[in-house]
Amino acid sequence: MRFIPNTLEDREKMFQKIGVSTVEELFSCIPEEFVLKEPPCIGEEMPEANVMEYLAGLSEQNVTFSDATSFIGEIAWHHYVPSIVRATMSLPSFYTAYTPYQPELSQGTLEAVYEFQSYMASITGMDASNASLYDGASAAAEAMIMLCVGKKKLKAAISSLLHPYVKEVLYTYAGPRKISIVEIRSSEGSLDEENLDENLDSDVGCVIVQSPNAFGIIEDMENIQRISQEKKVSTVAVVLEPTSLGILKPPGDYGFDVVCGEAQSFGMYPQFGGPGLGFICVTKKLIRKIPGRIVGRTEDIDGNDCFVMTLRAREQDIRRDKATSNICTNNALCALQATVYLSTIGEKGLRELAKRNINHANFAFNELNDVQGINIPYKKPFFNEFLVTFDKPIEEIQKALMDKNILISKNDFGRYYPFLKNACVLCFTEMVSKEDILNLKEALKEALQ
Amino acid sequence: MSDIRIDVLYTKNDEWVKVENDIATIGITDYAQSHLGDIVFVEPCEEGQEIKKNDVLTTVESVKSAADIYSPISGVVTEFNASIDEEADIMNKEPFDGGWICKMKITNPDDLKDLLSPDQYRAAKVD
Amino acid sequence: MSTLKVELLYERSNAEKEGYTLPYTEIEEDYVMDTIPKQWQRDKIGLPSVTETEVARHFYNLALLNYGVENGMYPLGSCTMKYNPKMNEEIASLNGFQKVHPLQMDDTLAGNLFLMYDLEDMLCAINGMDAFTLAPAAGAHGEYVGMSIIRAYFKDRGESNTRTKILIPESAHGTNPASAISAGFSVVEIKSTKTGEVDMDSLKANLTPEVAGIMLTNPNTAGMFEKNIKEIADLLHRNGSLLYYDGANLNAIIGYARPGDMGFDVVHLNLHKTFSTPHGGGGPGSGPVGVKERLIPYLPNPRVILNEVNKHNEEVEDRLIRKDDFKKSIGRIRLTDSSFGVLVKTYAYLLTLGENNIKNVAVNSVLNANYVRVMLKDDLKCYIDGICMHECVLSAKPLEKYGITALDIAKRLMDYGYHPPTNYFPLIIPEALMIEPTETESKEDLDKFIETMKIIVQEAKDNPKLLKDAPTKTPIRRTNDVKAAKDLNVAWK
Repeated sequence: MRFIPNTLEDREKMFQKIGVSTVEELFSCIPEEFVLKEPPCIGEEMPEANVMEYLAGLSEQNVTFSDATSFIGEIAWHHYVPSIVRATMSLPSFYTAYTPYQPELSQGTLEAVYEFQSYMASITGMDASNASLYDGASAAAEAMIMLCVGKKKLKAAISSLLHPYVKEVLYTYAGPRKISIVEIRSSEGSLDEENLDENLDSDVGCVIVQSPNAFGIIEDMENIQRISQEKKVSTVAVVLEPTSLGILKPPGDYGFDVVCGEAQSFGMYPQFGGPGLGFICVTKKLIRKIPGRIVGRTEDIDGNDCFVMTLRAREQDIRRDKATSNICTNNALCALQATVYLSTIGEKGLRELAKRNINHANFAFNELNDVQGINIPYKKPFFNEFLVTFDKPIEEIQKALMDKNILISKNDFGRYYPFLKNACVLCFTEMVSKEDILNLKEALKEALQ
Repeated sequence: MSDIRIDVLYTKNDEWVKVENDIATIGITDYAQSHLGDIVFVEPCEEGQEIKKNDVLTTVESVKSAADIYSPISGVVTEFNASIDEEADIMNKEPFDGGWICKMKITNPDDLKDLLSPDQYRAAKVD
Repeated sequence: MSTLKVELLYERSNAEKEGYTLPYTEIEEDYVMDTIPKQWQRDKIGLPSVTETEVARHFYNLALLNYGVENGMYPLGSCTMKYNPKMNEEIASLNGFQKVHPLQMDDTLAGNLFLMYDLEDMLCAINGMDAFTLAPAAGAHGEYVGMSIIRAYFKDRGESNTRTKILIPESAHGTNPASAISAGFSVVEIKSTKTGEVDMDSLKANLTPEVAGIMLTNPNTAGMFEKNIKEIADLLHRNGSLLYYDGANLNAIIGYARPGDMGFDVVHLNLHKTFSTPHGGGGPGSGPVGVKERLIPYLPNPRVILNEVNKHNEEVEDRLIRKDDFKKSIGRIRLTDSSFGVLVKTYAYLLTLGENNIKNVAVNSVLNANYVRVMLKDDLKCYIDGICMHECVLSAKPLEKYGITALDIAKRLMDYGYHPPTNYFPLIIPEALMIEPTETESKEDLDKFIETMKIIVQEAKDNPKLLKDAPTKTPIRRTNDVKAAKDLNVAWK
């Protein structure tokens, strides 16, 4: 076996030292009735070349961004990933290492995480970031638990324009924690500020808002923060497409208490959704409440500058049943990818990229706006995606576009928002060209005839 | 052997209570601080906050552990020790003096009856 | 390893430097000023500006400060730091797996859905379970999901108000109680015996009608098999309670015995431990959860299933769909379907291993741990007599008289080029050093490790200062953790 080096001769020698003579003896603590008589049925072993061929074949059964043009966003984004990202994450001492419990042997991981935290704190306009969470939806759930359970205010006011999946995850997490959720209505494609005001009282632990929201529209964060602050309710901004923060004023600048979300956009292809990269950033007064790992800068006994995991006492392995979060393993390697990505594209790169996304999406908006059978219900500032509704059943549109090698989301937003029908969010990053957009327009025209 | 002051009352959970009129000052004992190790943070209590006996008053965090401090009495927090907010390790250095946690207005004087005298506390620690 | 000189990329930033150029575009119009209100725009992001050369060099040099599985033995108990096959990384990076969106229509994802479907089957076969969800993002996420499934099961039976407690041995990993709490249960700690096994008297005393289930790691956190597992399972089941299996230590029994056969109703696996996917310096992991038939309705949404409507279609690949509206489901637990990249690596690993080799993983991991145990038990102390499973717990207690602790030994090992074992866990063993060599270590390397440990024990007696000062040959020495927690500096300014 390729990965098991002991020879039969080694085994015999080791058996002797241990004082056993058979494998059965070595496993004598396992009651006979539980010992498998037949191996589990998973097929014969395959040589590497054949595994490679088989799995390459399987991967080719998918329709990829190379086979078709994707206009899907919502929860995962297709941005270009510079080669240096994969090259760096493929360095074995990064990807094979364990969580950096031993700082003397993990300064590489620790410094990279510190840089990640610094970048994310800057991008979101907050004081601190943790070392990462699983993904954007569970990050929002962690934020809700931190603010509601932590402050014993078991009510969360959430925007109805959180992505439907984020909402579902919040409901899943809220139940067992006895948090009740109030959904704030939308009005013309963004959060209804009056309804927000009406629903905030001293029992509400936090307000959770997504921007750009599920329809792609940029929320008026200033007003949302002001209304919440007047009612002394903490605010959480969920950002699923942080590329937008290359141009948009960050939630931290408006005074949000928590900014969390998904950072797959930073250096990862969508890869069928995972692993992604959850993040959570907080103000100074919440640092000691933040779930998950956090890296701090300190000194070693010789006075050398170095990094360690800090605020460990809050974590599950020490606090056990009193820990506010059970998170342990997070998505460190994805955070490394994001760090390399952000280092490479830099200040100017992220700004230009954000502008490029706005330009492409607006070009598409103008092109699609006058197509017969397409309606764009809300005309408010958006980043790289917007909501459209079709005059025909969406299944027909999806199929007709697929025949032209165009991918749009499987999500009919009519399923989640009763006031919509045959609705879909279209996304336009730097990866779609003018020609791609014009092709989409033609294909839609044809499908809608 | 850790320090046990004779002018305060104690709990089994290693807190001390000093009563002056209807105000109680609360802290953790020398024994408690030495077990926690280097204290790095104490969760501030809010002034005006009403606390019932045995509710979590605050959480004291050291590098290696975090301990909930349960209120030895019922009362209303009148003051949180600002100096432990700045320099938490004063709780290690002066657990009975500069390292007090908060002052509370006593709402149920009967609670005081359940506290341990210095001798009782010393005996409890020997067990 | 090289020595550390902290330099952040920020410190060499210069606005004129760039590491990236945007792709071509024919869309030349600038819509930003017209569509985004000026007051919503930011001036500065706060990222450094450096060239690609500098980025490459920076991270390459950081990698040199890290210790990975290829640097040498990584016997971190309870973490299963086995070799991560290179092939897995290459396969997961294939275009066909990378450049697909989770919201594509199911019929454009036949390859991925088939992989998930087949992997689910394999995990069922290996664990003796009836269905798996591949969604959980890590072990603790799996625990949360498993606990939520148990909660949903009792809720469905109208017992949610009465089944409120989860029993957890005091020797359990900290995630167990934290996860049970996240899922809305209260935790009752039961006593462990000296070998970390469940104390049967304590179990019986606490087995009340409120008990929803028990969370067990088997082999337990001290590396010993829970001999009474059948009796425990019978007791719990007769009480109407369920058994949860924490798969952290599955490597010890994989291919040899199955949790499903022992009476466990729910299991979670750590693909990043047992199934060879890398730890990534702290994730991403993956924590699939398997259940017995009666718990299938509560698995999280969505699930990959065979579409019965399309029976005429013969190929399995063409009939797979994601169904996301199971009514009794605990609901959605993450943004996307799974940490798919990790699943690809697991699948590739299992295909390579095959059914005839899988038992050898367990056999050699147990063999290696016991070899280390017998070779070192006279140098250090072994509180637990007899054969252990995939990890052995030694104690540095005998060195106490020289002022030496488990931590000192751990740190000194670094000077000899090893990653230390887990120390001070399990809590029930004083001065614990928990060694899990895994099956991918060879006897030659174990012999070198054993020799090094013997040298260190001798050093402890002759010159304890060597251990107290250790490590000295690493990029940095012992750290000031008090300063880190007190003078918090968690972001560059």
